[in-house]
Amino acid sequence: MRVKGAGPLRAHVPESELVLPAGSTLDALVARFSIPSEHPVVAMVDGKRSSLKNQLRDGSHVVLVTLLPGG
Amino acid sequence: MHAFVEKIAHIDLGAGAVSSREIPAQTWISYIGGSGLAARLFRDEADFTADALDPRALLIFLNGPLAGVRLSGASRLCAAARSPLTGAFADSSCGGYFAPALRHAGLGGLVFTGRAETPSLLFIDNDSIQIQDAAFLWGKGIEESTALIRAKYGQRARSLVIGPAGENMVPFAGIMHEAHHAFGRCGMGAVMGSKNLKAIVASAKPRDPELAHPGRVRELVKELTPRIKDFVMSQVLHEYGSPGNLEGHMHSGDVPIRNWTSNFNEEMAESLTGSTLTETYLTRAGTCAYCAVACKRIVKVDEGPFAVDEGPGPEYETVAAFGSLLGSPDLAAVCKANRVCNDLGMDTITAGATIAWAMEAFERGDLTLEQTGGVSLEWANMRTVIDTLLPAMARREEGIGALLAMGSAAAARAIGGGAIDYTAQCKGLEAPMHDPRGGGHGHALAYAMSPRGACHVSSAMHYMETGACNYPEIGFEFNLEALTDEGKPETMMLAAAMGCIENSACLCQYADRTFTIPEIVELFNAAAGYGYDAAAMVEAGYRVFHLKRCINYLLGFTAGDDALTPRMLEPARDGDPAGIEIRFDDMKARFYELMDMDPEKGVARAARLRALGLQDEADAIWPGIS
Ligand code: SF4
Repeated sequence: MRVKGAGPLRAHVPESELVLPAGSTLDALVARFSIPSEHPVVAMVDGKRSSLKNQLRDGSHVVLVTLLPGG
Repeated sequence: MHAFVEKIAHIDLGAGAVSSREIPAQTWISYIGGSGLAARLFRDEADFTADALDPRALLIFLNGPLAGVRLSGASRLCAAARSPLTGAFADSSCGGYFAPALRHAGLGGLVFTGRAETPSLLFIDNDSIQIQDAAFLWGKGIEESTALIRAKYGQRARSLVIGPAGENMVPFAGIMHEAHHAFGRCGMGAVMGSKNLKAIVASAKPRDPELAHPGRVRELVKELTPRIKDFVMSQVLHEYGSPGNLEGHMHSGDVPIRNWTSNFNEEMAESLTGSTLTETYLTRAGTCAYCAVACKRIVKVDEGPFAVDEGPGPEYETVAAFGSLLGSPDLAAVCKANRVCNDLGMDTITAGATIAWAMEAFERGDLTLEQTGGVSLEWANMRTVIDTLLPAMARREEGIGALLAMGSAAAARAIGGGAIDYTAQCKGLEAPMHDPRGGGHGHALAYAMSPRGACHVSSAMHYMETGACNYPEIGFEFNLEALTDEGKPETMMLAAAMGCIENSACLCQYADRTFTIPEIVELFNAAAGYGYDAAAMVEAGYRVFHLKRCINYLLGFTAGDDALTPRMLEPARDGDPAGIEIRFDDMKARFYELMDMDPEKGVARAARLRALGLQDEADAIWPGIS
């Protein structure tokens, strides 16, 4: 699977290819990175919002996004 | 009773007369200050038969009770009037340095009426308030005018200035402060122009404001400042500015593209986001008075067709309005468009949104080359936007300039057909750059219920729905899913009250994000002696919200105007929210019910108004009903 961080999460989640144990959840993926806890993290999996409780699928493209408002 | 606030100056520009008066302490306490007190003054003193640009119209500037306190984000200034763009009561907020400057002169606000015979400015110092000749500024852009004011009145002079768009009464003309900070929304600059008032200059010797409990205020500032500074949102704002999370917003479907026809574009997500701005054109961060966040951008584009000298850079709203909304990924063009638009003195949101609407109309054939005077309105044609459209709009040049200078709703009505359906506005105010279809369905409710029209800062919904703040003391802890209507009407109640509190206090919604309810209460009490508890403060927020709704009803608005256009509600075509519908009518009906509002009039019922102390409004709207 591929993962990257968007916006302020770019600094914490470099674009990379990862292999995770079968059945891993998005929560486990997020835990691999040192994202400050104040960021309300949302995962976009293949362009769709996904609960962090969901399991990852092979070949997914995950973009981690913070809901930090602004503007 | 004494509230630690300053007196208000009245300036009758027609008569050339200046006077000042105290506002009773209880009125400050009941309406907080800023936009709430402005609504009270407008309701009591405005002639409701006068349209926005009539000489009889009022133009009000008001500080909040914290102005001049050395706390981040506590010194914004409110401007209020009937909006020439919407016809509704409107307020607009500006950061920078003018609010403390006004307080240094011993003033809490200014109320203008009348029209000066010749171009004028108001000069304020410690000893006097004078109406002076402004012929030397008339016709000049904001940057030149601001520099001339500095040269004439000295480095200490702080100014509010209108540009050519304000002079020409473009209904979305703004007022600029130090050529950087803006009263952008709702056309306050046109109201100033209608009064022949080019500038307001304050040059008083700095002094500490008189506070109820100065020691406690100092302690609060000491406690809050490190927290504000360390908060992750403040750090992102400082490092990357308000566009800092544009890329994240784009991935979640929050950033409108090409006049809201799409809300996902990976190229634009990368090219327009705040970190790209920091890496390419940022020279340094700027700030507002006493603010430790320093989120403002100072930029320079060295070369290329959109080269621009070092100066104020774009905010998130402007990046999206002159970037993604026009289908352009070009950040240099955004920097240039921002400077040009600001120098002409126009709201970048309405200007960008109106041009985006026109580009779609052109693509559809609803707007022809004949109507545009031969100007081709292709998506992303930023040369045409910057060199042709913006100056023509500010001058209201016959043809495309005059058409777009009306704003998108009026322009769409002028060309007819179904063009109104693909505007993105409520009550005639163009929506900000957060798409409820992806950003969160609560935004749709917030836009519709905002008294001034589609707006994400009138309430705190933007922050509450995205989880940036919790208010457990008043029953709100973040647990919302963005793309449903669940919990949104309930959240909107508190969001409406909190937005009214923030805007009446003239607090910056970035800097105050970590404040708890008890801390906000204590700030009011320590600084201004308001004697609030949490319930009284929240009640004041509701009072302000309902008063503004009553004013709009008395100006002719009803529940039918709390509507979004089909474009804003149709299922999005791209990205995550594709196909998801917003259950807007259900949310609206539930919100009305929760707020005890009449579903036809769009205002609170008599008993609720009376309970809030809005007796006159209850009598006017619900005669004979207790
Ligand atoms: S956070 Fe930004 S906009 Fe708010 S007061 Fe500070 S510098 Fe001004």
